[in-house]
Amino acid sequence: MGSSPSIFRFISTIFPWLFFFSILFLMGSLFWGLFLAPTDYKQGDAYRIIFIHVPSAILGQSGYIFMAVFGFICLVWRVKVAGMIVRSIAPVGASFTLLALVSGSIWGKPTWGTWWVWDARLTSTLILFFLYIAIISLFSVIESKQKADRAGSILALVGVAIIPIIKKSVDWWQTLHQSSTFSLSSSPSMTADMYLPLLSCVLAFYLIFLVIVLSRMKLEIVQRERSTNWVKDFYS
Amino acid sequence: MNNLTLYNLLFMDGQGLFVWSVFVVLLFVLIWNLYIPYKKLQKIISTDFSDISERGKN
Repeated sequence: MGSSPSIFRFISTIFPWLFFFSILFLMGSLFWGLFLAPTDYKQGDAYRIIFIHVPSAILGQSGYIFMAVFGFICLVWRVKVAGMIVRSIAPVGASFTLLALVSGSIWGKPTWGTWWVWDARLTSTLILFFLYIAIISLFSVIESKQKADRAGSILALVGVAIIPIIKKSVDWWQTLHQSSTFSLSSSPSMTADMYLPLLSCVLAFYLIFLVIVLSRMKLEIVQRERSTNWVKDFYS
Repeated sequence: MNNLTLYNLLFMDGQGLFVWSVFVVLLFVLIWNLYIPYKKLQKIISTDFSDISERGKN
């Protein structure tokens, strides 16, 4: 894994390009899903929430898995950058998990007739959000950056057990929530003109997630190394 | 695109309110997440490095 200066310069170089590309890709994908995809015969147009809800839910869970992986690297090999990555992902993952909860709640009203039920999928996703909040809180209350990185990494690793529970919750328990939209073992239950814009939205959300994490990484590096010569040289 | 088509696209048979409110939440999340790190970085640059960049110009 590279050093802070080389990562900082790499982020600074690719960031503007990646930012504009991801924004354009996201706008195109959402336009495809919200305007061009056909209307669902059962749910009507309310199903279009899927183009925001599913990608944000996937990102909420993927973000946590990324945190656990980099948390492991931070704990085992004491790589400073891995700790920074965990710290950068936490608020972004929390935002996307909250977006998944809010969009699911808004979608629940026209389809289930209620904003919220204590369903296994919804409750386990709410626990994921609380885990993110706990990690963010750890980072803000522990003053030493190294100690905070390690504490956050431990919680990320312990909490990753929630991911298979969320994934399998619709199979293990009777739930109002439908089964998984994306599955590696079976073909999609939607037609291609709905599935492809959804896939495009997921990719766009991954890109925008990367952009936000990189911007937070850049901030994190500057905050930690603001007294070093290379940062001063960069901004002089 | 005539007015009726635009109306149908936005209103979505009465379900547009749900879809567009989710869209607004998404916009808020994206703007918030992109703006906060930018603002914090600009603050550090203006407080810690402003004198350095001024010296660089001179």
